[in-house]
Amino acid sequence: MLMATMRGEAETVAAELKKNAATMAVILTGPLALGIASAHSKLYFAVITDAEDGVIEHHFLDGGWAGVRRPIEMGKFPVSVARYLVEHGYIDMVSYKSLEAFRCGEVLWERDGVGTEMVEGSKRHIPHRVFIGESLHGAVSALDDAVSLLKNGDHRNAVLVAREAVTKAVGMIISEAENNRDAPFLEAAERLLPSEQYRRLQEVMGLRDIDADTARAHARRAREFAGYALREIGVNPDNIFGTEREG
Amino acid sequence: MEYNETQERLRETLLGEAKDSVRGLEGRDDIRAAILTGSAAWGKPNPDGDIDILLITRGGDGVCYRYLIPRFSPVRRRTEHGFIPRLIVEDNIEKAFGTRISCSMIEQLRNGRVLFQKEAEGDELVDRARGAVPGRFVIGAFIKDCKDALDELSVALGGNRRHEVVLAARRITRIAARALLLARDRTAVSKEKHEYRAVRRCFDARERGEYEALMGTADIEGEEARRVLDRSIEILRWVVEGKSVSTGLVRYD
Repeated sequence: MLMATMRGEAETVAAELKKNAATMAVILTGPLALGIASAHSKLYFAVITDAEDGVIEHHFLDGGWAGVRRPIEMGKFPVSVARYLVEHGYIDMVSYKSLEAFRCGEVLWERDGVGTEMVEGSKRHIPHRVFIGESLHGAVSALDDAVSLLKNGDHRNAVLVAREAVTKAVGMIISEAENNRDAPFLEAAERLLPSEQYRRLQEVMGLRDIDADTARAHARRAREFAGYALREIGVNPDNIFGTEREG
Repeated sequence: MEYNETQERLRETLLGEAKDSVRGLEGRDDIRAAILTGSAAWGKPNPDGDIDILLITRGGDGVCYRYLIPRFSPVRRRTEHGFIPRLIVEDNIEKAFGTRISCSMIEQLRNGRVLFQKEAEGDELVDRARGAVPGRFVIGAFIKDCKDALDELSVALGGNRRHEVVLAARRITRIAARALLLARDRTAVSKEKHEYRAVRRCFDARERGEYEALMGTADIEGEEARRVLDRSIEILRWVVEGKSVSTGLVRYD
């Protein structure tokens, strides 16, 4: 019932879009195209146009559009840009997100086969229909930042940000596999990662030479630092630490 | 912050390119201000960086981002125009760091540089962002996060899991550092890379040393950093390949 309702809404949006002479194709993408939509899902569209300004537009229509009240996200791609992306594959985050949207897509309307060209062409770069969420985008983006920092000679912060990137990426694997947010990170990683990757993870996180005494000293210092911060914002640390403080 | 001559020249270049990219938009009545944000407006300009511009609108179809790509548009570097209705900007300033988007918007605006404006609307929003004070609920959220992380630490200590202890200690450090930054400088950290910049600016030498020691970066030298980055790239590549995505996404020279 939900899927049928949402599909009707998608058809309404497509009908409105094709009234615009510049529209060459309307591609439904995202959860509905993949058959995994929920009541809270937005509608996602990739629209190919004959615009010549070379500008990709990403509209966030939180109040809906064309009489449809559901939140909508709509990416509009000039056909020349879309063809370039499909031809060259992954060159940056914009191309990544765009190709991902095409790859999952279902053509609702098109002329001259332009929509099908994008959906089929993008599959050359990603052979399977796996929908990748924001977590991986965030991880890759953080890794880009870490590499830039290293190039600029900021070694300590490069390591700090690289660890964030890896934590995000491995965290994604854990949450997908175990559906348990409370599982200790490293225990879950050891279970789920091949031993070689787990060793690399320990190295990245700077944990390989940590013994029990060092860990306890770290815990003590972190509590002191938290107490220092709490006092500065006017909170008595004893109210937060309770009896655990001396542990 | 002091800049050398090369950075000043780069900043002027970026400013000129930013102005050029919005020149055709100034005549539109619905666009009330254009504000340059990100490293092109403040901090250390990056020669490979994008240009990010907020365009404050009235009316229109809601939020829209336009990506101008050099190969196809008359720009010299990737340029992003974020068209945001004024009501949404105001709402996020009023949320006073209470959400991630609010943090991000306040952070962008308070360091923004107005490129053009109508009736001083750009200056007004920048001033309001600079005056935003964290609400009580933000402090409440910090206390809750801190308590949760301390509980995790206790569990890890009780279980004698030394590596988890270190990670929990780092989480506590990060939460505490962010609370200090917010309280002292009204700096909200919406991205990881912004955290260390704020730490550098707002912490004294002793605090910085403690932060780095707790985060496990105090003794990192060049060779080790390169090794960590290599391993990180290998892990990310493995994760990305597992998702059947082109490995081209994680390729570095």
